[in-house]
Amino acid sequence: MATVSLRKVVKRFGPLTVIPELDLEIAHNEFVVLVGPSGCGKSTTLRMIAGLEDATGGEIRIGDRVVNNVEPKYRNIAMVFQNYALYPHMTVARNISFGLRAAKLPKAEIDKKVREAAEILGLEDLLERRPAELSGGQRQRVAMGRAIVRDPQVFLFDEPLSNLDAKLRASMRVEIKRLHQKVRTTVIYVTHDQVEAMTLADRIVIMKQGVIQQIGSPLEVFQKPHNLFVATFIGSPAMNLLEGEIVAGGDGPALALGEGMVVPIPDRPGGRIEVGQKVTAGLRPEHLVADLETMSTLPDPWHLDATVTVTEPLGSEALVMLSLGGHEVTGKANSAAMPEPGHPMRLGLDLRHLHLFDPETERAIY
Amino acid sequence: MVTGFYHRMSISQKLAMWAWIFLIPAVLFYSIIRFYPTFNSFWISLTDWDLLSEANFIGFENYARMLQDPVFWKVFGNTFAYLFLGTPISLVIAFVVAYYLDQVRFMHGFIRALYFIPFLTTAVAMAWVWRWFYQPVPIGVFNNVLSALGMEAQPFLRSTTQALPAILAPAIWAGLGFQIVIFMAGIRAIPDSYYEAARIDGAGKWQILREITIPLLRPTIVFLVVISSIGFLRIFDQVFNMTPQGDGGPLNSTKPLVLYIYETGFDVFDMGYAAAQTVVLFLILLVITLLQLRLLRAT
Repeated sequence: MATVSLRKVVKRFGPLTVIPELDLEIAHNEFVVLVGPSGCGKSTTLRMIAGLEDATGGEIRIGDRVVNNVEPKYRNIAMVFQNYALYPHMTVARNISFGLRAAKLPKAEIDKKVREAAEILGLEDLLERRPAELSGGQRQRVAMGRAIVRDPQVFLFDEPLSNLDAKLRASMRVEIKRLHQKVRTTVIYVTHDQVEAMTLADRIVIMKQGVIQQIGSPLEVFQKPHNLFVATFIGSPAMNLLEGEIVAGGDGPALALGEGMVVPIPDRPGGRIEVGQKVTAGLRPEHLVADLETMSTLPDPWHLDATVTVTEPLGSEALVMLSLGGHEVTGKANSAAMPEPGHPMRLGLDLRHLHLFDPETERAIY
Repeated sequence: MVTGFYHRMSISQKLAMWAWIFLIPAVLFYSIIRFYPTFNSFWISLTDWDLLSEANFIGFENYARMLQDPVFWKVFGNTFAYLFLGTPISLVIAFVVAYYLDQVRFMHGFIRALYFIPFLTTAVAMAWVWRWFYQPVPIGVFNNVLSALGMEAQPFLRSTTQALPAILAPAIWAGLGFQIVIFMAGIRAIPDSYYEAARIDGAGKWQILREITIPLLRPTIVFLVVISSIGFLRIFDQVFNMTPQGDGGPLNSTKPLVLYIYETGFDVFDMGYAAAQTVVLFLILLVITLLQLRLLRAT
């Protein structure tokens, strides 16, 4: 249980600046996920918090203590590595107790803690096995066990699920969440998978090239992306982007999308749009709808004609790639009423969820 | 006709055929140059062959003679002295050097090359240089240093107690480069995350060394123990070149089994007895190697 704060933290590797300047405040017991594409500096940030990398500049605090020059072992943290870092020659029990043995705890206490951790993680029957005899998910749990026995102030996770297959990843996600609910501790979790970030985080920190793009709850970053990068990084399938221009419409501004397609822009407080401005419009696939029921709730001017190019049935629903006024877009349709490729399709745009970005600064302007 | 036959063969038959075609040179070489003489020496060890006259079967007489031969037992002891001193000392030195050299970035390649050079140098040349090192003042470097420090000069190669370690030293030194390189490769192969996890978990240097580095180096260590054991059991060049007349003196105090076999066979021409000693050496090597491979598999 501790806060973690990074103030004006800089990291350079020789001439290469990985983190130009980073500020981040993490609250008690908060589950924060650092997410971004590879090379965005998220792992480096985590490793600086762990003490495995020195910060070139700035200040890192855990609790009230500045830890820049504190050895990892004195930071009271625990870390789960991507490859789990389980020692192959030790049994599960010895792997879990490694840190406790390092701390020279009495044997009885070590045994007790190992048993407790094993119980929490369902590892009781595996304590005498070696890592090679375990499945990926079990190894992952051992790695977490090694972290929880130490009762750390802060848990650090470095892409812990990326070596697992999709199904196991989903179930381990649930387990990590359950673990956090059980062992209330500050968690900093690094991943490149936005689904993991969305499902696990109290707050998501989205990074790109060492710079924080946005910090917010999963819903916030999904619904109100600050810029194009966040808009396209979060959400799957990715948000549709359409180049367009603001024009004067019948009542208020409208969005011209080319080939004579013009849609009205609903009034929204805080929008900074001017007629004549070039914009990048963003609309998520789930807001490009084709089923009649949903379409009937949308006003008439929000309906447009498109041509189906490819369909991807997913079972309960289907993704439809469409050509909309020369733009390639992805929409969602009812898989029962799947149109054939090449056919025209009437489409409803849910413009209440429209995003507009300045194409130059890439910032959200509406 | 031939092509028809070839085309009728299944793919796995063709693969097997080509494999054997490529293996034949090696199989022939090993059969004629290595396996045949090896098995032949078992036979010779049961005869009184002296290179000139006809070999007569004499049963286990050579082996019985060996048991009664004080020189054989002296030599046998020397051989194990080389083994039991040489292997652990060289491995410990090689590990310590590799462990620290791995952490050195400054002139890393150059320093590593310096350690490797003795391994590339002819044993004979090295043996002679070291032989000079051990000479009395004013030729011998070691005695010059001792006398400069005001200490008593040492007889080294002239002493029955000092000669064996004095010969062992260059033998260890010669193999060090190879062992260091192998150890470094082993150390490098241990993932960094193991050390990082250990650092976070609060392990000290000693715990990391004892619980992570050394256990994970076990395959490397077993490999090097096997290789260097075999090397020390077969020690010859250094002894032959560093003792006067190459006789493993003084008073047989440095003579290893291989040198005794050489003398028995090619000075005395007692081929039967030499072969019997060879068989004993072969069995020792076999047992030690099997034992060590078993240890390796236990991991």
